[in-house]
Amino acid sequence: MRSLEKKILAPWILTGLLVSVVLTGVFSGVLAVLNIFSFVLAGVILIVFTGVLEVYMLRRFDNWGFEMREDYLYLERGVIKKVKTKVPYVRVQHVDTQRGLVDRVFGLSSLVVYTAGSRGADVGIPGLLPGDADDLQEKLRKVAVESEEEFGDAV
Amino acid sequence: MKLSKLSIPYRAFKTAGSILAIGVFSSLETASFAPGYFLAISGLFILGSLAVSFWFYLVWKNFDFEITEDTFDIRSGVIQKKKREIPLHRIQNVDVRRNIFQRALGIAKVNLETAGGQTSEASLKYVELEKAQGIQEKVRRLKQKDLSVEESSSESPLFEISEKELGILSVTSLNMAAISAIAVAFSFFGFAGQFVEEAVNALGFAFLGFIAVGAVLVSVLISAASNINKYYGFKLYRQGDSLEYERGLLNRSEGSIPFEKIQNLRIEENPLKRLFGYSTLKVETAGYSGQGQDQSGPEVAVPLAEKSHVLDLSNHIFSHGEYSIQNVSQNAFRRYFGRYILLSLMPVAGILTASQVFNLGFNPVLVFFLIPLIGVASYLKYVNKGFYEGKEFFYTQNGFWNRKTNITPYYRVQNLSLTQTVFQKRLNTSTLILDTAGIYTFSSNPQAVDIEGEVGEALFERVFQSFKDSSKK
Repeated sequence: MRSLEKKILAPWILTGLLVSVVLTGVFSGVLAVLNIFSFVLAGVILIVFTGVLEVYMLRRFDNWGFEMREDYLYLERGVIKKVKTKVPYVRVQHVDTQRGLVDRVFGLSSLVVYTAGSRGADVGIPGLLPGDADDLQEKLRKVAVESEEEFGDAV
Repeated sequence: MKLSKLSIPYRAFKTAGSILAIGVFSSLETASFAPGYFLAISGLFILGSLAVSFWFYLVWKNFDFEITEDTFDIRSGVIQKKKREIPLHRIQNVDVRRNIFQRALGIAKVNLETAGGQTSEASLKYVELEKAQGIQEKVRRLKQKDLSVEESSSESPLFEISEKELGILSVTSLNMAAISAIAVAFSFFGFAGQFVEEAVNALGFAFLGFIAVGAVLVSVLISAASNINKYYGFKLYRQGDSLEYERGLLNRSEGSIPFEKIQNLRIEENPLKRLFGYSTLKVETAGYSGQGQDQSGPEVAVPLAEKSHVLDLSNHIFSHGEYSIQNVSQNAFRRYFGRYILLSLMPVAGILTASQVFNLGFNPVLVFFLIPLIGVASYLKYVNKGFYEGKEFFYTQNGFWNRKTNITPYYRVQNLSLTQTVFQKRLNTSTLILDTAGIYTFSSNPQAVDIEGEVGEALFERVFQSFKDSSKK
């Protein structure tokens, strides 16, 4: 099973920190309205939120895994709700690599696999090296075409 | 071929009507009774109507269509000329609709539907009814010749709704959940009555009750009327390799469901239907098949029939055979019980706060009254969940208020997921989700919820294997 690039932790940890700061801001506002605001209290709130969110982010990283198996792409992810998905190659309609602003800053890329399914219509793998994402895209495209010869297309 | 001449006055009246309505509203605002004002407005209106009529005459004059061997050609446009050729094999469905005015005039709107699009590819605004049916027939014939499918059109419908069934449908298709919510709320109020009375006087309370009962009655009537209007004279035919239906009282519509587009069958039964042994059959397709642009769920193949009849029809479509739904893990009951207890804490806390703020007494007995209610709700949720692993089909069942049994062929699976939340992990249960292609946003995928952990893992493997076996060429 392959895990994501360690680099993805940087934007995730920063996101956790940002969310924690915003939440602390909101709570401080509430405390100020109730007239019980103190910097010590705000500090404690900030530490608690940051702790919880960063643990979440680390768990999120640990739990992410994917693998190209014999006839399907296997993905595992989720902290509060663990999700395991099998995407049969024959169902892959097209594969995108995407590089958003954050991805580019951290030198990362993500891969999105499209099927005709309504729910998992876009199965995405974040935190890949751009080269790896391109490789994976190419491989998936190839196996998708190959598997079409073996299986019928049922849409 | 030309459109019906009646389409000119019909469309002109329709447009002039809306202009008149706007005119009336705007003149109400700037009501002026100066002499000549009314005359000027009417003059403008008459001139406008003439212009509109002339415009629609030009539209009619410039509109021309023709069905060739392999295309449907449409020439249109007054100012900018357009010519379109729609290949017949791309037309999925020819949809004929008539509202009550169009029926009085004997004209119909013909929509040409193609795959993929959410809207009609082209529509013929108003041809004579016979011509409309002729077009439908001709396109179907040419298409079938194109696909070299032998015509196995059966003249007798697969299903025809009887008056009795329509009657039962209109009564049983109510939003049961909403009605019981009102009932429960009221019994709750009645229970708390002695405290509420202090704030709301008895007369006000009775008035409130009157309003609520009235609202329920009105919603019952509206729902019954809309069901009768929608499913009056419902007929389902088999035509080659598609299902054809026609239905409706005020708006008569026809449509077809190609077999190859069917992803999933769904049997729906609310508690009332279960009591009387009736069910509804719906068909989930991938792609547009002409029931209407406002569609947000699967199409109705049988609005209501006895369960055994519904199963006959679902077998006609899928030949899935017998199935017997298995219960999910008993731990599921504990999960729902816990969830409902947590959820009910919020309203209880709300009532507690309100009773503090308004200085009313708070009766803790209320909470004890809730617990058996939550027990029953959790049990009903648990007992209506289930799944069955068939040879070629996977069956899932969910829901108490509107129990849905999905019949999914393995070869329709797009991807397969096994999920487990932290709560489920504690109870060793998991949820298997079969994702199929569909266009409906508000319809959930077939899923076996809260099955035992090991069963989930095993099914995750086996269902995928069945998918592979059934979709090999």
